[in-house]
Amino acid sequence: MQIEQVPFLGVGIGFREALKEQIFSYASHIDFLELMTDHYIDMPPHKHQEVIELSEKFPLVLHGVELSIGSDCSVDQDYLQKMHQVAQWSHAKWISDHLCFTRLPTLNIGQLTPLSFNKKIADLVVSKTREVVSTFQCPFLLENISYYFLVPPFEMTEAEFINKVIRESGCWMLLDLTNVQNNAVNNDYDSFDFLDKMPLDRVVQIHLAGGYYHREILLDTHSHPVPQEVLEMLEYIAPRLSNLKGVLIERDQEFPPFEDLVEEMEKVRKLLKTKWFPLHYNQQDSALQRLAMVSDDY
Amino acid sequence: MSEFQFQQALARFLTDKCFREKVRLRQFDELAREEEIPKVILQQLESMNAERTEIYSELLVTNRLSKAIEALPWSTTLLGEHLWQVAQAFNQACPPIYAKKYLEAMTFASYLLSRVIQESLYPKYLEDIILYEMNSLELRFEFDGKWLPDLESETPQLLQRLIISGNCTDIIPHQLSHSRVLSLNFDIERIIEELSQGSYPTDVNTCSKFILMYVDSTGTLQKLDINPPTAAFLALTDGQAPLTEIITCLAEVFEQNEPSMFTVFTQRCISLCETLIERKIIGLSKTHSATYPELCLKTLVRS
Repeated sequence: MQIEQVPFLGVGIGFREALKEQIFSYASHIDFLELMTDHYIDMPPHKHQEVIELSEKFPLVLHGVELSIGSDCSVDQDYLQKMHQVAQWSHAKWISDHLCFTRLPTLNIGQLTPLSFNKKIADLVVSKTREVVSTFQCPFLLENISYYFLVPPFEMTEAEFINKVIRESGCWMLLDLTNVQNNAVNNDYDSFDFLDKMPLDRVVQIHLAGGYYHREILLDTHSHPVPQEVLEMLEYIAPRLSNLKGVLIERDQEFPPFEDLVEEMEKVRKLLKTKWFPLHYNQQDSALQRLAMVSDDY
Repeated sequence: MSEFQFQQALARFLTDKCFREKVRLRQFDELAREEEIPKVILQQLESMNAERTEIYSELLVTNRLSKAIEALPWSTTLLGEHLWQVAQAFNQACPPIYAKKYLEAMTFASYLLSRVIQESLYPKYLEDIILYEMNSLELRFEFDGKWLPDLESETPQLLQRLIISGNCTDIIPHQLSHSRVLSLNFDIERIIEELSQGSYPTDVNTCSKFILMYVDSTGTLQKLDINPPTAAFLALTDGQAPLTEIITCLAEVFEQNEPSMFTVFTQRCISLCETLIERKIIGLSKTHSATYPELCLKTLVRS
């Protein structure tokens, strides 16, 4: 599917079991939901039913953690097949995973682990991603991760690495602005300078979240409101996001009253309305029309 | 040196505290020989930011522990101040291999069970709590919603014949795999209730208890207290023995084998069959369980 055929979805949140009832109650305030792909793979039948139920009510996108695109081994065909199955159940508008490695045949680290920023690994990831991209009808996205240490040997910057992978593989990008902020703080560089180097024309989805400091490291915990600095980053890049289709608030724990999450989504809509929408008004779909109607007074 | 080799070593470095400490001691030649890892890889691992990799590795343990806490809330609560130490020991003894939270939690529970049995640091009822939570978890996640078609077709006819004629000579009951009986030594439901109210039960007497756990047709996990004769009946529904033999055996155990008592006892067993079939806990067939390889008896009966 060409990216132009993918509708602009708007502003959404990650589906979490603990929020299920409220998500349905506040459905009119949520433009789309992001499901964790792995929550529906090798699970009892009621999870399949859940996907069907959600797809009838919301546009859905899928987000996984187990693809481990950076592992130096062939693409896990069994896992890929299961991703396809969930994509079919959910009618996912796009599918994403992370630019990292999480597992090898004998060990599952269980956490997104950074890759060495070098040509050899980049070429490996490009090759595997091309294979994954070719199997999906809908767009496939890779997300930048949060990391606390560099993995040797590194010959490139993170920005160079990301650009090479995204542009040469044909995949699209899920740009996590909170991870950009975390990495800038933890690795001492300027986040806006980094954003200027990102393939912004390939960004289809944005992730926003809040974390906290642990022993002087800013952690990606999805446990707090989106910080103002992260929203400023979105404001900064918004005019250049020519293929943006959705912005997602990630919240996995320390859930606030749901009205707070609704307020966060509205804040993002207002930002997009002023900084992004005017450049993309010619797309006629319901989410964009809704964006146009966001009150300037909010 | 391949990237795969490096990634393997890196994964081990991040998950194995003992290995990490050895690398930090920089005895590369010795370590390269012992572990069969190229020296250049060990040097690369050692060059990574020590503080940051240590924090990352600690977060990995926290992440594994959080899966255990979510799936085994009462078992982990009862560990109290020992929880973090147990989590670290678990991480060292059982490197992470599963992606699924449920499988990680089951691995942790198995590890914890082995420690509880060996050590006397913990409350005496912790073993029961772990078994209770493990079985609940396993039934919730392993039930695939499929009811065996052969038993579905045979069972109603055989049950009808049983009720009408009482003839059970060639009828073999099979306990279905989405159910099991726990034999426990404590009233854990009372213990869990106290824990949920924030108190830590200390004066807890032994109390023999049987709990039947099963997944019903809506996929919901059900738990029932059952009496010893019902538990014994279910223990014998292994798909091998015909119903006549089961009833005869139980009548002897429960001293119901005088003719007048035996007739009543047989009727009670048939009535129990009916209830268990209605709840899809057992099925009936004329053939032994060798022809139903998917079935297995998962009954935990303690001596």
